[in-house]
Order: sequence, then structure tokens, then C-alpha cells
Amino acid sequence: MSVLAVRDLEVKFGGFEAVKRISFEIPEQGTLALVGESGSGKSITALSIVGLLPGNATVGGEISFLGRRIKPSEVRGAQISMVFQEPMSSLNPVFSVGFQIGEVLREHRGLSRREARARTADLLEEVGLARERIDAYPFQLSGGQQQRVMIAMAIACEPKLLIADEPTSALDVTVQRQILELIAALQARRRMAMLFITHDLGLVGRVAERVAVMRAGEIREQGPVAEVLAAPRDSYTRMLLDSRPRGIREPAKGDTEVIVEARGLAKRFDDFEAVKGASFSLARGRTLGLVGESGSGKTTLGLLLARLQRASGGELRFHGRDAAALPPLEFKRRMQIVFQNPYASLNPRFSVGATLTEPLRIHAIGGGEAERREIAAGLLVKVGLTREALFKYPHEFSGGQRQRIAIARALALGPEVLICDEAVSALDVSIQAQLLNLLRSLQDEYSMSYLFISHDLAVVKAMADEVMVMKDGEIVEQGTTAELYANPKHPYTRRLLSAAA
Amino acid sequence: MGSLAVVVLLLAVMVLSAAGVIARNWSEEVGVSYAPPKWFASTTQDTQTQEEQAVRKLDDYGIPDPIGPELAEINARLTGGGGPQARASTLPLGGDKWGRDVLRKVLKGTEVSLFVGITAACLTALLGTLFGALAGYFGGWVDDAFNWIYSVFTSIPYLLLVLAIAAVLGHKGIATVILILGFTGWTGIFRLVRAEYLKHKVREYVLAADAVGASDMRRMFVHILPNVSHVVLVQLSLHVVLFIKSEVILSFLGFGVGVETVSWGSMLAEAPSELILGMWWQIAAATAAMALAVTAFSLFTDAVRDALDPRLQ
Repeated sequence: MSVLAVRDLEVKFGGFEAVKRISFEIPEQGTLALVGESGSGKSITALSIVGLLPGNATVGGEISFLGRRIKPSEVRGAQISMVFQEPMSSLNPVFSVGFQIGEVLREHRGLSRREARARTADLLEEVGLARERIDAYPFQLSGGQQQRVMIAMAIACEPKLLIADEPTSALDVTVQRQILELIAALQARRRMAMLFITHDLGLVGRVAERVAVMRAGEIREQGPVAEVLAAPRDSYTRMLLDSRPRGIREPAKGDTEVIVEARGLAKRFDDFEAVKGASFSLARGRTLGLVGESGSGKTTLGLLLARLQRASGGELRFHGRDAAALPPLEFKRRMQIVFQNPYASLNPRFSVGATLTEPLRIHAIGGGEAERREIAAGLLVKVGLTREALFKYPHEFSGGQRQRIAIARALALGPEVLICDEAVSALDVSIQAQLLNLLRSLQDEYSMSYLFISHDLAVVKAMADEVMVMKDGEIVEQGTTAELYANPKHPYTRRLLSAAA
Repeated sequence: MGSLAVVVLLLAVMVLSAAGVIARNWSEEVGVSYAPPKWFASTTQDTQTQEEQAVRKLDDYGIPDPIGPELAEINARLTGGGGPQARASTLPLGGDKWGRDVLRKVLKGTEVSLFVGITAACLTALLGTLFGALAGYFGGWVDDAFNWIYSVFTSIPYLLLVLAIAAVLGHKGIATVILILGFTGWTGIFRLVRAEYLKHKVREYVLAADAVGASDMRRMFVHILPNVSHVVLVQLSLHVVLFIKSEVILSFLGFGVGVETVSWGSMLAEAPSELILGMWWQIAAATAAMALAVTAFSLFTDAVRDALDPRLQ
């Protein structure tokens, strides 16, 4: 008998069909991975199973849990529990983690305060945290520890089914791996079934036996993981698999002139050293990858290079001259940056035309407003958009399109160096592949140099000629991509690579 | 849409009144003392006439006025020989103690109160936004300096500060009231705008503007300001409302507009003694006008905020 059976599930918001008649089953102790890009309806499916859909949703179809049909409005916290993507926003910041886990036990199990506390300590131990952490507040824990707390809370009532909605997407790769191992161990020990929701096809093979690929509310393909990954029948699944960055960048031939050289670049905030003496050089037409986990200082290093933050030590040389001696405007014309979040990096009050003509106006490029508008339209075409976009506002575009606009803005000044700070990390994998291709072709066309900052080792491997690995503000290892990936020397690099493999 | 119509109407009243088209002769004594509203008088004719008679009796003590005929003659000569004007016994919205038309007073009062409220609120918003933008954007010693001034201003009890500035400015009148309110009211907006700038200056779109070479001024007022303008707009409307009320307090305390002009505040200041006598129409008219204006302005600013946000179009 299956733990969960979903038949012809349909969820509508007004006229919009978020989930279109999907069916799947999860056997006892089995794991189904639900894979899809943003907006595919995978989280809505999960919410309809636990009865947490917003009030304006209309639900059709049938959901059976342990052979019994359940109503869509029923909230089922005790037998089905859920782990969410963002542990920081799922935990209440003003209560200790012990109180929050204990609350579940007191509510569902009717335990007394003392019993709940003892049981909570056991649970913390089970998810790999020290018992003493029971009185810690969420802000005192790292992202991985917070996710462990969320998992402890989810298993507190010994559920039959665990729904994990992107449980590791917000975490660094090394932590991600630990959490996945924890979930797998708990699942085996407690004989739970699991619905694992993710956007990352790479994770699927590690956690699930069966996979269902969702797109625009439909299940395009489902079957055993090995079968689907090895021989996808559906064109969309194939496209997803092909979009994952793979391979390694062809080594560039010959030497080109060095454009940027950093010597002992450092940044200190009060008593915190964000960047400790970074030294590297970047040659024309080459890409330097910068890899590190969150908080490693890689974004700060990017901002130092763009001189958007003042370095507290070291030297930055541009074409062999001190960058500080260059007029700021000229430096900015030759050094541009693309940020991670396409939703935050465009001014929502500026039309796309205004966003693209602004740098031209500031640098007095182009004869008049009409000519600048033409240049802007040309840039839009270059990044794969149409000139009609000039008159629209950022909110009218998808994430990928916005990132194209941000790239067009950076290109407007014809820079020699482009810093890509996690420029494709917030995007779906199919969009990511398109943008990486765009960046590559732009690099060939203008022979720009890239500093490519990313936490994603596969993306960097596919993009960079040389790679630097950063940890706690320090560059622990750097070398050519082929060398570093094949033969990592620093233990941290080795750990990173094995976690991502 | 309705609020827009009301606001336009109020502004039209303000302009027309300032231009002297309507309510120019608000100070003429056209009715009998405390003339009741027309519709009210017709339903309660009896009690009204009794009250009026009672008032007359009190007036002449039952003794014939020895200089009555001479006084009448002098009055006739002063008013150009037309004889004493006939005074209306009822007026559209009633009359005040001197028989002035409450309707005209309300219209004239709309001009004064709205002008004071809007101008002072604009001055406040301007100061608060400018100071808040500078302090929030630049931080460091600029922020410290503005915060110090802010602390000084907020540590002095409000009325004491208002009275002190009034005493220093000396001259009594509309301009003084506006300056007093403007110089004391900026602190709230300053605090909110500063916080918004602190939040926005590290946003990626501002960094991106920096990266393409936009100057500090451009980033502050072209990039960030439109994104925080909703805060300023909401505060602006709240302050219009607040300052209309503050003007009432100032006028009541004798630091507001002088006797040569009328505002909703000075009308309300007359109300306590009238209410004891049962004359409710002046306070009712002024309050109704104020409530209408306040509601309309609040709804109007909401609409303006939505209209200015491209995300909601």
C-alpha cells in the first residue's frame, strides 16, 4: 500500500491553473523527487498535500494518505510534516529552538513542559546538534544548523511522510551534503516516506528512487531515477539535463596582456577582516573564476575590484598603473559589474530605456538622446531582447530577461573587464545555460576579461580559465581550471569538490 | 476618484477664495446674532422665537433708550443714508455671535486652513526629506550632526518649542504659523526618510548606478528618492491633516491667525461658549469641513502613491 496517492490533483487560482491534473504515488519508505523550475507548481502540490494552500485556491482531484481520502482543507501536522527552503525565515527569531521544537510536542502529543524538553534534547542529538543547543536562539546558529532544527521539528511527531521543499537550496555545498546525508539516515531509521522537491536534477540521483519532472503544472515524465536520467523520454527532461553546465573550458592558447593586477588587496570592517590580502591577475579575454561558500568574502572582493568599496590595504593596478590614480569615471567605463539578483539590481522606477541610456549620458557617449536610444536598442538586440523593451519597466520581465538587461547596461560603456557576481545563480537551469552562452559569445566578440564569482563549481569549471578558491577571506588555492579540478591541493578545495560531485 | 474630486473642489475653493471671487465679504454682519440655519429654524420655529425674545428682553431692561433716536440717526448717516440694513433672521448654515454667515466663514476658513496645512506640510516634507536623505545616504559625521539636531528638537516639549518660535518670530499671521509648523514638524519625516535611505543605499540597483558612474546627488535624488517617495507622500498627507489641527491649537492659544482673518481653527475656538447656549451650527460646519478635507486628503495620497508605482500599473 502506498503512503500517499495523488490522483488528478488540480489547483486553480482564479483562472490560472497552477497544477493541472497530476497523479503520483509514494510507496512506504520510498522517496519521490519532484523536479521542476520556478513556477512549475511543485511547491503548490506540496502545500495542497498538507492543506496549507491559500484561501483563494480551488482544489480538485483526490489525495489519499495511508489509504484514506483526505480533504484539501485539513491541516495534517502530526502525520505529514514539512521542511522548507529558508530555515532562517521558517524559525521564529524571538523563541529559543528548544521552545519551538517543544511546542510541536506539547501541541500534538500533549506532553508536559518537562517531558517535551527532555524529548527535544534527544531530537537535537538525533539531527546532529549538541544537547546544550536547546536554549540557543535561531540567530546563534548557522544556516545548516538551523535546517537541522527544522528537521528535528519535522520528525518530532514521528510522521509517516516527510515533505522536503528545496531543503538544501539555500545552503552551501559542503553543508548541503551533510543535510542530505542526515535526511537519508533519518528516513531509513524512522521508516518514513519522503516527497523531495528540488530544482536541481543533480540531487535527484542521491536522494530518490523515483522522479517526476514538472513543468507549468503538468508532470511531463515520471519513472525510476536511473531510467529517467539515463534515457529521458520527454523533450523537456532532456533539455533540463542538457542545460546543466558540464565540461571544462578549453584552455586558451598564448599569452595576452595583463589588464588587472591585485596585490594583497584587503578589506576590514571594524574588527572583521572580510578579505585578507588577495593577489591575482586577469589577462585580456580570459576568465578568472572565484569560488567560495557564503561569507567567504568573494562578493566583497568583487566590489573592491570594481572600486565600489574602498580597500583598506593592498594595491590594485590597471594596465600597469595604480587604479586609484585613474579618474573614477574613466575607471568605471572600463570596469563593469553584473550582480546576482536581477530583481534588485534594476531600479524599479526606471524604464529599461532610462536604465540603458543613463550610463551613456553620464559618460557623454552618443550625440543626443535619440542616438543614445538607438545605442540602447542595439544593446537590447545584442543580449537577445527586442527594442520594444525600451519602454517597459523591469517588473514586466522574467528573471532571466532582467539579467539580460543588467548585462546590456554593463555592456553600454564597452568595458574591458566584467565582474559577474553570481550573475546566473538566481536563475533556473535552462535560463542559466542561455545566459552562460550569451556571456561566452560576448567575451569572444569584445575580448572582455571576466571575474566570474560563483558558489557553483560546475558553472565555474565550464566558464573559467583559472580558478581561485576563497575561504574566510583568504584565497586558499589558485590555478588553472584543469589543474585545480583534477588535482586539488588544499584540503578545503578537496572537500568542496567532493561535496559537489 | 471621489477623493480626487473632493480635493480638487477644496483646492478650487481655496483658490477662488484667495482670488476674492467667493466669501470676500465673510466679515459682513448679515444676519441676526446666532441666526439659526434655515432648515433648522423652520422645524423649530417656536423655540427659536422664544429664545430670541428672551435675548431682546435682556437687552433693553424695560427702560426706553434716552439716546435711541440720535443713535439711529448717526448710524443712518454712517451707512450712507440707507438706514440700518435689514438683518436676515436665518442663514443657510446659521450665523455666529455677530451675525456673520457661517457658510462664508467656512469657505474663507477653508482657504486659510488648507493653505496653512499644505504649505507647512510641503515645507516639512522638503526639510525632512533633504535632511533624511543627507543623513541616511552619507552616514558618518553628517548623520551624527543631523541626529544631534533631531534629538535637540524632539527633546523640547512640542508646545514649548512652538511658543518659543512664535515668540521669536513675534509677528502674528499666516506666514508665521507656516514657519512655526514647518520648523518643528520635520523630525518625523526625517527619521523615516533616513531609515529608508540607509536601507536603499546598499541595494544592488544603487551599487549598479555607482558602477556606471552616477554621482552621489544623482543616486540620492534620481535613483533612491522615487523609490522612497511613497513614504514622503504618505507623511505629507498625514502632516496636512496634522497641521490643520495644529493651526487650530495655535489659533486657540492666540498664536495663530489674527482676528482680521478666519480659519477653521478660530471658528472652533469660538465654539465652547456657543455650545453652552445650544448654538451648534458653527462647530458642526467647521468640523464637517475639516473631516471632509482630512478624509479626502488621506484617500488622495493613497491614490497618488499607487499611481506613481510602475509595479501596480
